[in-house]
Amino acid sequence: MGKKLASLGLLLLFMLIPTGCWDVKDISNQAFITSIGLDAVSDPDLKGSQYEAKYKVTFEIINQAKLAGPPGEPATIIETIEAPSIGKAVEALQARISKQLTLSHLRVLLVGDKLARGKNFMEPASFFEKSTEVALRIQLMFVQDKEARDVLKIKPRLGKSMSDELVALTEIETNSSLARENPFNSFLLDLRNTGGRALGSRVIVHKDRQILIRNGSAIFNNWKLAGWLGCVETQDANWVTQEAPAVVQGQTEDLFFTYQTEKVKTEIMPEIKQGKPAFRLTIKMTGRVMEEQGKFMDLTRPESMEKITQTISEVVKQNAARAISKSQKELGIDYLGLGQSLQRRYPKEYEKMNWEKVYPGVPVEVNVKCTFGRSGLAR
Amino acid sequence: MNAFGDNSGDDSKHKLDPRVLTAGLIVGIIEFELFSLVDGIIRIAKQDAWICIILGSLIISAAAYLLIRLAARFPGESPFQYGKKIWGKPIAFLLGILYLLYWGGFLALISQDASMANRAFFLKSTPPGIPMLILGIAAVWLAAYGLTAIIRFFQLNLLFLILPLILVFLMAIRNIDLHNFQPVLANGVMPVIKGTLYYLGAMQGFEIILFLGPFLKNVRAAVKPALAGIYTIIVLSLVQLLTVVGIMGTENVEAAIWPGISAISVIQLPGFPVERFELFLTVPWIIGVFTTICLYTYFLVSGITGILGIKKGRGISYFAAAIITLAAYMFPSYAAVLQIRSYYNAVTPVFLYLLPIAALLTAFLRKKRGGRNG
Repeated sequence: MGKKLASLGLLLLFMLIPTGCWDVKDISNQAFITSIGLDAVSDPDLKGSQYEAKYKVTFEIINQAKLAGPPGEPATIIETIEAPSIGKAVEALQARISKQLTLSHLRVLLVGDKLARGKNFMEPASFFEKSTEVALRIQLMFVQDKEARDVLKIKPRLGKSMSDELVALTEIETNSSLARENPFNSFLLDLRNTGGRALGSRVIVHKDRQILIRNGSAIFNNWKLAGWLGCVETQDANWVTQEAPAVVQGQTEDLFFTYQTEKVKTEIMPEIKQGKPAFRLTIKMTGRVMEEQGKFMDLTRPESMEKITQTISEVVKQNAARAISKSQKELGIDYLGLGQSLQRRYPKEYEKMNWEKVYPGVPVEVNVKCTFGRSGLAR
Repeated sequence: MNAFGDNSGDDSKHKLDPRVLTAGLIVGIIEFELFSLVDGIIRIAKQDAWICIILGSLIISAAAYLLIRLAARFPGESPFQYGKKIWGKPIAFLLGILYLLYWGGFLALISQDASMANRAFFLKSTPPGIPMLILGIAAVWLAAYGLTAIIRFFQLNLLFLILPLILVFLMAIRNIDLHNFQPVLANGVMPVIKGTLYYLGAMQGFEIILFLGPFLKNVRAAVKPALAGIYTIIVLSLVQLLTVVGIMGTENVEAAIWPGISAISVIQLPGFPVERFELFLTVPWIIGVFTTICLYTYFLVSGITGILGIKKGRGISYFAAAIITLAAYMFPSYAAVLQIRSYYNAVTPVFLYLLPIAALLTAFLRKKRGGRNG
């Protein structure tokens, strides 16, 4: 009898539980924030008060009602709020949106030029790292000369939201060497490993047309934005940092050609010679000739291909050397990660040296091996 | 049948095949800490944490062998029964009380740990006591049927525990950067030794070898199944470490509370229909927590009945569960839980390895052994 009563009691308990719960999450009652743009406040008129606005936070929220709408019509709501913190901005946003806000589908974090220059990046990053909703796979991009809000206000051309387009741009694997790929998690790791140096992704807004361009990169030093690299400079830097496929131009005596690299492998070999660091950089790659201008060569002939690969090797060597020179001589910031390679191989020696002072004078030898070439479908 | 619903002793019809020890160890040891375990080792040994796991595996294997030797020396007897023979009644009683405090404390910790994770990821508004109470009632109900029932339950859940972890690892491989494991031994050997000790302390549930001994058909044949279980856990720990450090890097791991979950949230698989891969960890998480609570409830209640000589264990088990649920609320903050958990990991080797091995040595020196052949 006792067992039967206990079973009945349990049954009643379980009947009560499934009828509803405190945490019901109906998808139609959620407002999904897909992008966040962070900017500096231009005119903080409440200075000194505890409500002093430090961030101008722009949210891109999916408007579910418009998802099935006509193509080319964005299905998003863009809202901007000035607040002392990102958490406060989210709280304030909830007063404007009639559905429960969620960051579980946040895909893009954009940071405006002024904020990135003025604030230690770890401060805004802490909100996203601590959040239990945010997945750390978010793409991080810095907006040159503009505000993050300007990017989110652009009308998407191929997708239903700007976050769709920005994420899609990061997922393209070919011809991606004009841009720096460094998502949120690995950007933070670079900053933490180097004491505030990193190379982040850049986006710009076309000066004449309201379109978005994702190329170039953002240089961080001392946890703040220190400068920008254009697309060509980023392609140069990518020979050292990220093994991205690139289109390379070559010129022999009477032939101009372009070459698509397909596999790129970069090896950085640090050395300590008489107590001083040095580096050997070896870039190995293979690819195919895309087009020719001038006096065409028969690319099925080994000597022609040898000439092509030698020329390409020389061009890539010059590009990589240019990237190193820019980093060492012009800016004096090790955003190429040479110090991290040294730290991995010679941790004790690295600890002893003041890397920031040593870096500009460190010799770097560049070797390029373009081992195989093809001509595509025509000779 | 004993006071706690167990079929032990010479009732050979109900005895278990030694191979069940594999599932018993895997499911018994894995709990929520699998997702945070690497954090503790990495804080100590940084990128050399993998060496700690490999070194730890050697020590754990040797300890498993010695614990089986101890159980085989006293066939058909529970650790509380042969403890009295080895140590004498007063010392055995004292040690028994220490073990009870250890198990009770661990249950409170794991309950609070699970409750916090539940609040963070799943049920934010639900009062945390409700899911924990339901989990606790179910655990006590299962534990009340004895270790044989618990082990059968473990066997049923083994694949549900392991397969999602393997699936997540396969998805993570593409994102792993082996540079994050360099430089090797940059800080010398001491952090590796300390990290190994920490890893040894994370094997709560390992004492199942001693408790399962009386229920096995042939205890001596349990060495291979025990090693199979232990190596599976070690491989899973290594996989977890490889995923976490390989994806996040040691600096980011140190900043995370649950690096196992954070690392999965970094994975990107463009075109894959699912986006939040960390949800794959939900099933292993629930199984891991529930089975550990079952096992430790069993240890605790069989300890109380064994030490105090009480015949009816079921009432005590519900009472103990209620006390532990209340005790879980005593922690002032989650920071305190994490702090106490690290202390627990430091003292765990004493309970899991040192005391049982000391018991074996003492039994050997004092020529103490059980009456029946195992």
